[in-house]
Amino acid sequence: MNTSSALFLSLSAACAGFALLRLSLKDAWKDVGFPNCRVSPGVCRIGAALLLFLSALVWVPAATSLTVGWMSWLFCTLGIAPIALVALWPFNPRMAAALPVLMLGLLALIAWIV
Amino acid sequence: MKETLRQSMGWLHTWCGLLFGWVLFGVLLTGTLAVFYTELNLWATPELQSPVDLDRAHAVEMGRDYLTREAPDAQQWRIVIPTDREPVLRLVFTDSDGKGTTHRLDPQTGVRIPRDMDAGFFFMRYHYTLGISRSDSQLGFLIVGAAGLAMLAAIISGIIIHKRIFRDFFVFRPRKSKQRAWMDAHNVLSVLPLPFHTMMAYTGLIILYYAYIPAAVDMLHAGDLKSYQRDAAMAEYVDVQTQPGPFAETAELMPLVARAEKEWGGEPAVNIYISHPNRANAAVEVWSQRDHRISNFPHRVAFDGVSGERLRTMTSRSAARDTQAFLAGLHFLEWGGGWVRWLYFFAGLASTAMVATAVVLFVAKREQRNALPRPLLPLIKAITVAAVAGNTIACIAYLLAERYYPAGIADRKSVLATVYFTVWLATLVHAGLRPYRKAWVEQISIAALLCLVLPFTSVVADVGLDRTLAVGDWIRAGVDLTAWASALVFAAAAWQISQRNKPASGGTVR
Repeated sequence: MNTSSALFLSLSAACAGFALLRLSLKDAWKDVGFPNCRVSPGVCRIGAALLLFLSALVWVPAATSLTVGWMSWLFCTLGIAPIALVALWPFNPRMAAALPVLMLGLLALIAWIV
Repeated sequence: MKETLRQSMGWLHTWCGLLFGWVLFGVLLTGTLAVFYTELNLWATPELQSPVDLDRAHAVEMGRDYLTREAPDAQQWRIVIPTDREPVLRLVFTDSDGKGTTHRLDPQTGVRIPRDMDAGFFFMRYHYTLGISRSDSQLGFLIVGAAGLAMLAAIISGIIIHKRIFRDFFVFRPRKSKQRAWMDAHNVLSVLPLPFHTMMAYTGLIILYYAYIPAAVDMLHAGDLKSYQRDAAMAEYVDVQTQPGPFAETAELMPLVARAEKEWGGEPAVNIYISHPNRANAAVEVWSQRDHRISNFPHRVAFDGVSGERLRTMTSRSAARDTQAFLAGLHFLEWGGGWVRWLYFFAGLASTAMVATAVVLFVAKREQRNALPRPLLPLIKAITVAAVAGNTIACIAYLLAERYYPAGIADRKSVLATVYFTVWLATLVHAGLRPYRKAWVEQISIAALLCLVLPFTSVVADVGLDRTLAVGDWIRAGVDLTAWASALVFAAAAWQISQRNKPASGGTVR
């Protein structure tokens, strides 16, 4: 996996993590059109933590060094990843939760193939 | 004094944020642009080819020949080896008075580039001096330091006043009241990248700690900053103040570069300093690139300039200096490569937008409450528009001026700086004369238009997108494509504001 695809994949995983965190809040499943979903907030949060860990795990070794990877992940990736989710949620929650994850995943795939 | 801690902090956050927010927006915007300072330098220099196949040995040899011809009596030479990011051979020579002169050559042909390659450096200088030369006055430098401190104070007070910081992590309600929407936008942009904001404000102050807290330097070095810097850099053995010795040819440079790279473990060298070149007391110091490490102190290996004997290898210093270098390096961002620069760029935009939403929110709140005396509110409104939209326009105008003014004109740097400040002043006058909301729409539309035009100037300079994309010159193409993307964002913002503020019954909008 090259640096570009690792970064996009890491951002995609972080987006998915933040989407799960958002879904752990009250009425969020209803907002995305699944009012009967029974996934508990605790499970969502554990899933979010695992996805964020995965995000770090993907990006950090792909950076020019481990320190560079950790610092850029901690200060930038984590801060940038949820912005699309938060900005889009009021307009279309389902799209906000899924679109950034899918788009970044697709970019990762393209970068990997190219 | 306010009644509770939260109220006191709220007062501090509001007023500190407003007064310094106007300055901070420009500082953060130019800092964000300066992330790509080398790329902007290259974009503004159409004479340089990119990408090129670099032959480092050829470039170093060419640089040495050029310096031997042009500056045989210099106290020091510096050869900056070209890289993919900066495909230019930069040569600096220092005369006996300590004055440095920089010449730039095409790394393949050796032809001198008739430009300062200053576009990116202008933004960088503005970022920490507001464009006021430090040799003329410390004012800009001190204002930026105060603004950095105010940003840190605003961050801490913002955390204290934010009652539900984690619960509001995801809250954005653009359809609620205007004030609510701005507040949410400010909160989201502040809270999500909070580690980045805090780190940048803190490390910004750490970089120039000796200037902002000068007591120790004053005490230990009797106020002599240069003596302190020499001590801190641990470079006394290459002191160029010593007299040059008799003639003795300096050793071949590339073998020394190869030995230095082996000494510190393989990272490529980027700087070669030659003190007293072609003299018996010559010293050659080779510095590593900093792509793989955050610390802004590069590995250094020094050699005797004539015999080539290794004098010293420096890969670490005292714990305090290494800590400072690491923190400063986090801010400088000479590491990590292109993708990390893009991450910093977007995080920097979030910082800039955080400040912009803060100053807009201040006006929205006061306007609604009628909380400010009549003459003060229009003044604050005008400054707010000029500080945010005006600064943006001035930055784009600067880049347009880079393309417009020919390379050879006298005092080009000052002319271009004048363009920046004149445009900014014009936006301030415009904001003062026009109704608040119309001023926003008009200025953001102008920013969109200028961003749209910018890539066409590249076509005129023969480095248009058609050509850069065809040869894989992603640096120049990246600048042009970013300009178009910005044009889209500005156009959307102008349209959004004009729609939102349309009077329901056709009345006048103020």
